[in-house]
Amino acid sequence: MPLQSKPQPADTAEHLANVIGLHHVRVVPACTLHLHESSRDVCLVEPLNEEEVLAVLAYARDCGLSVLPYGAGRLLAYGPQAEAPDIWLSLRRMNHVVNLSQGDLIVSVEPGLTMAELASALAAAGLMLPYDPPAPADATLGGLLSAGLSGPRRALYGSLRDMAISLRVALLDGRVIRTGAKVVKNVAGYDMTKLFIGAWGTLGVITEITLKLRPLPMHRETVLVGGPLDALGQLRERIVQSALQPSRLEAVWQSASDQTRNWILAVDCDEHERAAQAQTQILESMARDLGLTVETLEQHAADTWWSEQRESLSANTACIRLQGQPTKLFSAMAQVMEAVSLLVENPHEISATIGGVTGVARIAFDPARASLADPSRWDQLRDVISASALEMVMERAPVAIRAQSAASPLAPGVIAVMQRLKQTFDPEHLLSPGRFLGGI
Amino acid sequence: MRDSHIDALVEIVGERRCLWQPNQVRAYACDGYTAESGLPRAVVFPESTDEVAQICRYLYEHEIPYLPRGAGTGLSGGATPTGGQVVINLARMNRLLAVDFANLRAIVQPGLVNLTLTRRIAHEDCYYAPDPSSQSVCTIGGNFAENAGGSHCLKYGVTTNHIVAAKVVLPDGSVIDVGAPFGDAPGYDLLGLLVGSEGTLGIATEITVRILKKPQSLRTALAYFDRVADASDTVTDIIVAGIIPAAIEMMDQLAMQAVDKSNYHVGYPNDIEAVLLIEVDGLTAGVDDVMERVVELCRKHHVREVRVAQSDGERALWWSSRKMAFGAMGRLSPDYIVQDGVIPRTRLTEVLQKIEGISRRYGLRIANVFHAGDGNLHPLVLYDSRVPGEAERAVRAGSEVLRACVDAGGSITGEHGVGIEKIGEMAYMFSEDELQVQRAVKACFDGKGIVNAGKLIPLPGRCVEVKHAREIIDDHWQILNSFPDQAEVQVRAARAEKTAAKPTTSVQG
Repeated sequence: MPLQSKPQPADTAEHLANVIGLHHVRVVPACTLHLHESSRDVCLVEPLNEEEVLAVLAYARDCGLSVLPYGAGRLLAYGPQAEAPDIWLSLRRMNHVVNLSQGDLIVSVEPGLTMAELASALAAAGLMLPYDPPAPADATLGGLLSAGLSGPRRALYGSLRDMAISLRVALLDGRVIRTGAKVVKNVAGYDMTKLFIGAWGTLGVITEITLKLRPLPMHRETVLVGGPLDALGQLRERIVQSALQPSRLEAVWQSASDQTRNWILAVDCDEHERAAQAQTQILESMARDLGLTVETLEQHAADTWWSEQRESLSANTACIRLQGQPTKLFSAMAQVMEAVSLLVENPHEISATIGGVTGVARIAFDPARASLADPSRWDQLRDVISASALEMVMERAPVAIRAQSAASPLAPGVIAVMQRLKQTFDPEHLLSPGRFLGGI
Repeated sequence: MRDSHIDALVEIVGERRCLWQPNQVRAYACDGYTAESGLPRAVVFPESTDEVAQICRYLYEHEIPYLPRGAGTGLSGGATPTGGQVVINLARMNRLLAVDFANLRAIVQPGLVNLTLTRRIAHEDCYYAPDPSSQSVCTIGGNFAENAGGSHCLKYGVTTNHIVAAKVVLPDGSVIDVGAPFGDAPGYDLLGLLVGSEGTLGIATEITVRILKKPQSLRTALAYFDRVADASDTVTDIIVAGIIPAAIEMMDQLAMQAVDKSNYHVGYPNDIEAVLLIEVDGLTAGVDDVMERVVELCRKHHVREVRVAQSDGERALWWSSRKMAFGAMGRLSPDYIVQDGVIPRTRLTEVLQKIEGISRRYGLRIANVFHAGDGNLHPLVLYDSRVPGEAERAVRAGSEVLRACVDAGGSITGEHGVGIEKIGEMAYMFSEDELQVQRAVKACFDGKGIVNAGKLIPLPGRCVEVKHAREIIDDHWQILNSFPDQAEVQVRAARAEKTAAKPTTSVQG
């Protein structure tokens, strides 16, 4: 179907609906799909299955139209800013659990399934995906996988790259490939699953995800220790050097008002009851040694506390991720927080966490108007972070700030390999163009 | 024969660290998979990233095929030259470069032996989790290449879950850093792709791994079952009950007989079908409760006898008995092939019946040793190579076992890798489209297709392969002439490729 010029969104919609016969096709301004996008008209398509995904990709390829695969749209403010693509391919309607095998601890799902939907399907079978990314509960698995986000549970269970074992991916050239295998251990061929995790939909459209699961812990217990960050840093070190097995170990920012208790170190335990109680006792005595006070949450109260932390991190318009040795994160954080407080309207609305094992810290906040107008104000923050030998990633931010941090942190040799991979899967650069790194 | 290329390699690493005479390089003709072999053109022993990079750059520029090698304990031929390649042996790069106990990371060179790392960090109660049976000799670089597993990966994961960053020399000799010691590196997950790529995409020269604190306590149980189905149901029930043991291993009667004839005599009853070795770990306060629960579940499934180890000695004996199972096969049969299929755990009983059927049909005994917790089977096909035709039958029986695993929704390999051995079965597991995409990924790293070529991903047509072998012979006739057996090796390798590339029915739906 060679066309002279690119079809307009209305023509695209017309073709997809009437010629191909898709049910959910509309023309809408991009800004109604996501706040940060332009007011340009785009074609929104919501396929119901893999076949429909392939039909959309085939049309896009033939007409040279760009495609943005996405889920609930919760993570679209991540990554570099780029022009709104021609076709918005929402996978939200592909939201079924394809297969759940309780005895094998494996689930296969469609990409549009949300975390909340998955969690309730799994809980009914006594299972869980030990994954708690800082994203709203209605973020989809396909979106989270493509973003490669991870949360506090990474301390014990790893990130999504450790849990996703197999994918089905629709490629732009019309082929569908399966990666990995639906068994927990497999080394046949290249570990292609990894390639699509964190790829922001730039290589193909994921149509099915198979994940390793864990049994729901029989008991959940979280110990909260309040205090100044340096004391909590010492406590962290003792915990890490002990035989304790925290499933999460996070320092969480409370407020600047009370200097003696402005952070909380949360230590979570998924072991069964007697072991958890023993862990709590050990933690209490460690905390006492350091003159710190302890509060213990169990079962539902513990779950609620953790989900509140997750929500507060995903609420603000900007989020910075820092990575590095946990010891360094703990020692540099006071200065970092100070630099951040200069960028916000209201210092009381900053959320921050430091992963005591993961080495991943996040600071979420709403930048003040003045700091958006004058990006040089962000330089001080960058200086503090680089002086501490930490890495900084602007996970999400208003457009002006993202435009600022467009420079790719990658070495030329690494970018070259990535560009060859992109060229292999999407030579015309039609998939999520400009929303990755290195011009991909 | 010494030629200008050998001179160039000597220039980089010195005379002492470059072997090229046939009697010197013969030891590198194969790895732990001994069914096929080929003489390398030379074996070089670099001692730094820079030397590896110089070697790769030279070889790539001159289009001389090469491959990396660790301890050579691989079981699928990943480090076996198919003939005429330069082997880059990383055994001398065996230093532990740095350990950060406060943040639980270590940086190692690829030649460091797996167990040596654990020993060197044991004084701080730390260890490196992936523990393949060969851990006392295999290297972490080799583990990286093969994405090695082990007995404890049910709870702790495999190599890819423990490697967080690496310095990698790409096929053309350029050096890149991939992964991130903490968090995630920006861009595509090149590290994830490199781990398990069997040395076909690059050579890791510095590897950053996660280290773990040793669990406070362990409890290990040995359970005898009259029926294999009961043992298998017990495994599923333990997991459904919310317990993730550190390890659950199973052996069948034939495997028990073999290990009981070895130095590690446990005295297994000779009329039980299966033995389970179950280990739980964690805080001392909790392990006894968990083990009690495990014992209960064994009883629920008609266990004949279940014992919890009363001493470290007893536990060590049970584990040695399991870990030495492959070697012990020598007591039963002069030769054996070990397979490495994976199946969904819940289909264990059914697949074991199929394996029994295969054993009967081929008239060959098959012993079963496996990581039951994660469905990773190691059927050992026993044969006698002195009996004409028996080796071929064993290979066919092994291949049929793998197909039974794929048919059950599993994989042809869980931890040993594809290498040369299972390259024919790749087309049974993956569609041509899927293989083609993997070849395209290889080309992104190795455009010339000369780094450990002929491994892992079957090439599209056998004609190309035979032609390739002929080209090598033509190009390197002067070396080949100096090795009387070389031409034969070449032809054998080409023939093996030919068989491997035979069109097979794909189960891809």
